[in-house]
Amino acid sequence: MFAVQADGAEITTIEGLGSPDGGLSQVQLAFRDAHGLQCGFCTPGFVVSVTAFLHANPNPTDQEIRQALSGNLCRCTGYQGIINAVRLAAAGDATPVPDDQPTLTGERS
Amino acid sequence: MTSRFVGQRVARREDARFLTGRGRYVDDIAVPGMLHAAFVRSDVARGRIASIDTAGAAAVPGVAAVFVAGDLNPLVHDFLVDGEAALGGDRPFRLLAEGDVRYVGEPLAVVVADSRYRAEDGVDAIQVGTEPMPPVLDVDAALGDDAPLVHPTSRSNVYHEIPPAPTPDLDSLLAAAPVRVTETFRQHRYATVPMETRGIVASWDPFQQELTVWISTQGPHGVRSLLARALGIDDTQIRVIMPDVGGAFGLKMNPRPEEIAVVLASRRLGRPVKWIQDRRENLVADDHARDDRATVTMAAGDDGVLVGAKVDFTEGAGAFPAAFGSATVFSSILFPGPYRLPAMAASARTVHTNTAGRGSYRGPWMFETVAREQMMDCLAAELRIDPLELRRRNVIRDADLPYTMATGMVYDQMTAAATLEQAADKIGYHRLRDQQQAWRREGRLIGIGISLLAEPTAIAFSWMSTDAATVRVGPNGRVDVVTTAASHGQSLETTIAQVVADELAIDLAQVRVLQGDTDATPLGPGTGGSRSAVIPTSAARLAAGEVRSRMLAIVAHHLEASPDDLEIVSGRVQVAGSPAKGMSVAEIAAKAYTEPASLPPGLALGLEAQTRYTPDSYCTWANACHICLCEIDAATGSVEILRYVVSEDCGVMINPNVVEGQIAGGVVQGIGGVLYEHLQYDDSGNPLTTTFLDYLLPTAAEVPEIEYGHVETPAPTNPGGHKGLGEGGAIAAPPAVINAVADALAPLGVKVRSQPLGPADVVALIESAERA
Repeated sequence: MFAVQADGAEITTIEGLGSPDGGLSQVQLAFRDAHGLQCGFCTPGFVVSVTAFLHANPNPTDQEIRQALSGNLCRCTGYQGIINAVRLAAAGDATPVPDDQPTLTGERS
Repeated sequence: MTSRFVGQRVARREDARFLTGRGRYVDDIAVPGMLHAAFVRSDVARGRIASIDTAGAAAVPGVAAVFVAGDLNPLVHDFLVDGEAALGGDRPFRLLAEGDVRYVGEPLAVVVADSRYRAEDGVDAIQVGTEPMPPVLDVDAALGDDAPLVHPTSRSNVYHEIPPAPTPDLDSLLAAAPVRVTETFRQHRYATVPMETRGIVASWDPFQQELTVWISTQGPHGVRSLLARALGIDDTQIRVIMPDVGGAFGLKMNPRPEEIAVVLASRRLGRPVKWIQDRRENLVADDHARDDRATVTMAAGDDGVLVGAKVDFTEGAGAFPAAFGSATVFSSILFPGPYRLPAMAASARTVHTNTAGRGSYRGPWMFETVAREQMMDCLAAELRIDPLELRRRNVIRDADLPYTMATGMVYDQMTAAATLEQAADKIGYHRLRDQQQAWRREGRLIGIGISLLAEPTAIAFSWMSTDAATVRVGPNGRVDVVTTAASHGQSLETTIAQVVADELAIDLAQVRVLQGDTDATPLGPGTGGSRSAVIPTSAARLAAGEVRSRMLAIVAHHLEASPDDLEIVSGRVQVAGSPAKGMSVAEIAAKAYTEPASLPPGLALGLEAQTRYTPDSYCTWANACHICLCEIDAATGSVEILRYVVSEDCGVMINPNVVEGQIAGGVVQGIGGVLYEHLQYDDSGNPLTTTFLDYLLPTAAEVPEIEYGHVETPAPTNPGGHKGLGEGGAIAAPPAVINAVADALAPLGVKVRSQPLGPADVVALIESAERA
């Protein structure tokens, strides 16, 4: 999509997903809990794509998740943590804790 | 000491900024008055430069300057990276092409303008007249007697060589062995493609005669010392800042000519200059990787027990390899892997061609594992022994330790046997082998591939020998750790904090890890070579231990107690059993900095310590076993990975999420390399894979779910017992996948000896076997 095609549309970027007081969205929390990012460079693209995807399809199958993610590239994670993050966000299980608190996430298969 | 954070899946400290768009990468850096650079590159692989007409560029609005070789090359005083001169320093180098061009993509000129857009317009307006000459693209052709020379003043196209030495004893041993197999294995050329490409902002201040550089790198100090030598100025005139870095995988260990050219452009103009490499430049002109061949002879007894091996490596160097870009010395030394291989000899050569240079990509020496693990399967087939069983008969066991390899290196520890069994159990190896018989009867092409890896991590050598950390407690009891490590995805802001928080028995949130600024951090080589969990983390641990013992001494002195009777609980040093008697870390810090007379006599002032550390061995060995199960569609040639198991031993895990993330990233790069990624040139030396439509990276749709097993044997080389593991995934995955594909295709009579194994390649293999 070219920018000109978005004329008149409302655009949400990564900066607009959390709350103004620093709270993270379910998708952002899920990426953090599932170790869905390493260097962070691809992260805004994934988080925004996943947010839109789960908005349209709140209960995706694994295959739907993989297809939905296939337009974004990541070179660090091997996609394992990202796929787990989408599962976690869809299940609504991400932990809503402030950024400065250590969070012990449970072992996930 | 109790571990509260080490070993836990702690969420990362880095994540808040990356998840909210607050990461600050080099392209986010903007300096007032900043100009932008773009490069003119050769579109000819080999040829004489007849003319470069820059007049058109100078006329483009906004273009500030155009520099060609004659302007900048004479300004380069030196180009060798730290430690390189001591090892010979014979690497071919030039900043911009002069007189001739030697690969497509070689930089010829740099245009500097008030925007990147206008700089690119300037590039388009430059006329380069090149008289093409026949290039040499293939290593075999380059080795021919009448081959054109990539570098006209050299005697041959051989860059490095390990000449074959006469080995009469080994030859007769191999000749007398009951079973002997000789095969030639190849792997193709990859690109190294971090999501963030290279980038730099260089700002020369002509009045203060000082240079500030923001650069996407794996370590700021090496950049500083290289730039000081290159420009012929003092290190003290240079500050290098490493912002957030979007992956590197070895590519960003050292600056390349473009980055030095940008620095020189800034110095010539007295203005800041930015260059962000675009993806085409990354794929075409940046360091390439792999491109290897090995002919291996391996011999064994009838029982499969290895007798000896000979290996001959040939490595493509491209025209201008990166520093330490040749890996054959390492590959030769490491070839025996985690097996008892009593006798071995190696020879090798590294060969120039008119292509982009070879660089260090995640496990640069990995072809030893790729070739050896394929050979183990070839030998197993010859002996009619199961590949798992052959490995069991030869893998180094506890009773063999310490084990000196035939090449001279020593394993103080090696748990390859344990990882082999764990991975085999986890995937249900024997059940799968039984099922495979039934699948084959049904005509299904399903294969199992094993690879075993001995990973040399935290190599402590030359400028890689030491790292340092400062641990500093502030007035409020909060702790800064200033590290030589240079995390660019490795999660070190979290894992180093975990170690320090445990050492000081304080909360993780009270520790902050700072890195990446030559004005602030101790001298060190940065992050690379799978060193950061071992060397810089140990430095931080020891510095924190020093701070801890000072805290205990201060409180013991104040309470007239013995330090042995004290404990630290939740940021408070107190008498065990009488928690009311004690002091908070903040109170101790106040005493340490502001009440020198109240301190125990002789105790160092303040509450900060710096430790420089080297491990107890030049190498900390990690090891792993990978097992891959794949199915091949004979009609389309597509390979689907059904299961993928990794069992690894990286010693004491600091954060299993980070461990598994490193494994997964490496494995998927390895899978991508074998099945999808293939950097190709045409017969004229033009790169054919110049976008991600041609150079295929794996996506979430292709990758398997990776299953992990951990064998956690503390390393003997460092106080935390940690081992590196950053490269192992990318080393062991290719042979596991290759062996699985070969096993799947074996019933068709197919022999797999080279990659890539994309659909067309697999179909071609099947068709050629059918014709035979």
